[in-house]
Amino acid sequence: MKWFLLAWSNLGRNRRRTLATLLLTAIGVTGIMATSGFALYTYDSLREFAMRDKGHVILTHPAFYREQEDYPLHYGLNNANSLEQALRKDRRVRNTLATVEFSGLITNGDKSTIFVGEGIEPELFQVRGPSMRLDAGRLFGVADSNASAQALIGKSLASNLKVGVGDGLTLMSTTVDGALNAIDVIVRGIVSTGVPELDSRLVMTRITDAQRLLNSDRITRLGVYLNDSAQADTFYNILEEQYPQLGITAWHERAFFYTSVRNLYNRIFGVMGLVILAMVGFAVFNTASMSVMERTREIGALAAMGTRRGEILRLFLMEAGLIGLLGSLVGLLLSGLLSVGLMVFEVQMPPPPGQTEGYPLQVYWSSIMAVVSSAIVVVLAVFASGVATFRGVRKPIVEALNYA
Amino acid sequence: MTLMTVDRVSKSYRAGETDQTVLSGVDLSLQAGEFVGLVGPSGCGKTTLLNICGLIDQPDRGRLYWHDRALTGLSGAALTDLRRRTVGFVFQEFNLIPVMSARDNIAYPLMLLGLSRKEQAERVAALANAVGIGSLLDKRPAHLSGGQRQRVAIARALAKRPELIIADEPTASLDEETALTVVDLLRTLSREFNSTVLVATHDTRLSRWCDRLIRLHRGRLQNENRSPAPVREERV
Repeated sequence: MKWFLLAWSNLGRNRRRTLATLLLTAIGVTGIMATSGFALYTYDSLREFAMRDKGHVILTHPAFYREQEDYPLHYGLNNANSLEQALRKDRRVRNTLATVEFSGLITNGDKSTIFVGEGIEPELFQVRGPSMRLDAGRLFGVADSNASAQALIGKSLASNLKVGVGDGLTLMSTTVDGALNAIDVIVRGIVSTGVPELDSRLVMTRITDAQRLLNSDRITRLGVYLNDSAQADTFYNILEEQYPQLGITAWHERAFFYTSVRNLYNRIFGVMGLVILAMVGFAVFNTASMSVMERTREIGALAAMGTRRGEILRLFLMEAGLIGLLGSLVGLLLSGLLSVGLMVFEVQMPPPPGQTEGYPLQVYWSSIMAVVSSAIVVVLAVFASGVATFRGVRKPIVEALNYA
Repeated sequence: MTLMTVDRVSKSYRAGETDQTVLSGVDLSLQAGEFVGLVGPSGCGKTTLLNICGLIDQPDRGRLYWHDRALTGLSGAALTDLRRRTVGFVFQEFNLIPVMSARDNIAYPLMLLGLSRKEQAERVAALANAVGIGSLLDKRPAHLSGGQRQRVAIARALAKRPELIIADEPTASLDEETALTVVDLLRTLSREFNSTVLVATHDTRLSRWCDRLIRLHRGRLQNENRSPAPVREERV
């Protein structure tokens, strides 16, 4: 306890220097917490988006993600309805969504262009949540499933074909038999996904209309949405055992954007973290070096009185540890304030590359990161101080006592 | 009873290209409880001899005995432990720890010995009263005068009741009156604790307090035989 109090008192010897080192440490911890908090928020958002997009677990024909299809729904799933009913009985399953992927030509009679289509179940928008913006018209509703063929189309596609809500369009595609087929659809709504390339090609119809166009009752994939995202891996294993004849894919296997961003951010923020830690390390090293130099005579006197070198070294390490700990605490407080501040005062981030929509900046305050970053900073401070002071405390006592 | 024996100790330092001999074949015997003055001109090797006797420097040649036990070959850690238990220092520049109060400075050697807080407090209070700084215990060294600081340093050196006290020019930074008071204190208290004091000084007045006076000249002892026949001077 005496050693601790002595170390604490020693911090007050050169208050300005101690405060500067402490502040630098605090800023370093704030930086680590802010960057990691932003990365965690991004990962979380992208994970949620990926899970909402295709489901926590995706069921397909076993060859669907492995091989190229020769014709539409070549590797489609049969008996999707019975599979859906069986899965929906499980208490862990919130919903299932069947999807038919298709493509072809879309025309307004005067002008044609290619489209990328998705045949969806009307529950999709309730299950997925806000994954796209409705610019005009209405989304599909569960109640009006008997209405005539309708489509939601991307904002740029609508602009390209010069159509609005209520206008008629024709979708053309090849059927599973290789024949050309067409259906007329009414524009029900115009949507914006935030990705310009997708907005210029996207067409969404009811799944039954897509199946009618392709002349098949198969589906491309069945997304399983769980009540608890944390159970995704467990449920994936269960489905793999339960349906060995199907292709079972975990959400992250198809979350390419999430994986790329995560890999990129891990590297960028990893390097930033290392730079910040190096900065903190050098600051503590400098402070400890100065401190040892200024206290050389005192070190000599302590050693002469019988203080072991290890005890003197421990004193300096304690001082560095205290600076690291106090700096970390201040840094955690600052990062907490930043996190809360961003919740209260919304700061809008510009759209990411390839997208048209910005998003609100948020920084998560992670207790795990708080413990990890503080521990790293304290250990680093102690290490830097150890390197700086090791030679100083090993100086011969007589030499230390005569140090000018 | 012989506390320490210095047997033909030599020490030299490297000065540029040549070795400069500071001590040459010094023989010295320190008896328990005696107050020994070490005098001589500047550069004669007083401080080097004090450092060797205080176990903070090693001789190049010769041997040291502590209670007839040879210290040659003892590790640095063993010497540190021996100093911790048995040697007290009074430095010319006091060398008090500036961030500690006078109380904590005096208690520091006791903390190293692992004494309980109660024991520490009792010893500190007794010593502080004895050296006349009882009311200054909560002050830090920066708020004390030179004389008061040296009193704290003496109390610190005596706190662990050491067998040997090494004092290097303890009065050099003090005015005449304070110097005499401080030396008198050191003399009285060391006698009370039966501590041997080896004090290096330029101050001839200090010799009055010494049981024995050793003169060092160019690294050699004068008026000191191998079998000590103490040069006693009349005490005041």
